Amino acid sequence: MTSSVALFLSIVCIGAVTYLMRLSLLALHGRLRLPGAVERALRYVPAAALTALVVPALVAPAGSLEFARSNARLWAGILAVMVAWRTRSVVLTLAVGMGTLWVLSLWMH
Amino acid sequence: MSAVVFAGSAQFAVVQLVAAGAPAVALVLTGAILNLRHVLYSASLAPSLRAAPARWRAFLAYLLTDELFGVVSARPPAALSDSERTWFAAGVGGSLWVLWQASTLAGIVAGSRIPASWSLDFTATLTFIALVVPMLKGRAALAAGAVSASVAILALHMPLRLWLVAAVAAGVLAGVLAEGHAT
Repeated sequence: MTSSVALFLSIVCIGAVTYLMRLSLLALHGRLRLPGAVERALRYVPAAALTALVVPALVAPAGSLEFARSNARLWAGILAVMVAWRTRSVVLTLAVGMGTLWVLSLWMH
Repeated sequence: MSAVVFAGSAQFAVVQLVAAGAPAVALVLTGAILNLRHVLYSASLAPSLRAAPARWRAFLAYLLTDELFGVVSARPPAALSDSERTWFAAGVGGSLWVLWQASTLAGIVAGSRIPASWSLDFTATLTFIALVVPMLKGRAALAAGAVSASVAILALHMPLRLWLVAAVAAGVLAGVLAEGHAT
């Protein structure tokens, strides 16, 4: 377990790194140019990072793979993906996803 | 953390890592990698905010998020003068900040009274889904997502939760390769 001092320092570090990254090209504009290849690669970071967070949370909610019918989060997540795809609405995605998870966990107990 | 970092996805991810008992190195690495995209936002907004004085740009950099980037980029360049654009960005960024801090406070006050059986942690996953699905447009982005997801599953048991780093690296590589292949 991370101690609270280490946790506090980690948060300060993340904040500092994040701020420097946000400031980087706003401040350096005109003096420095990112190579085109780096810029193209950066475009895929959000999609790759968020997928890498979502998929394990759905197929392995407790840390190991779980494709069983009883994995309510997997079904709720699949439905949420469809809602997000059709509506592009964060609110609807949250409502349908949570609703499905609650109904499924009530039904399975 | 909301005041210092001010970034939704990195905060959610770090909280999940803390709950899983991940070491400090993994927290910082994850936060930094998730926020790497801000370098690109920074690059992309720099031309339209070039008129702002350095002090203002330093302040706007603190407010720069996915949402601010989205809203400011969605404005056609001709719609606002340079100084109006600076004020517009500051206004949007300031409102987002106040809302974010207020919601965090509400979470701290009410959060501990909400039972775990409500599974409210799942809202983080669902929010990511809502954010990522519109991003997965086109062959290259789909390849990035698919490879990243596969690597994340295969590498799930890597120590320090390094699977996230491995998955993002592989996903970005796949996106670049798929893009090169298509053109």
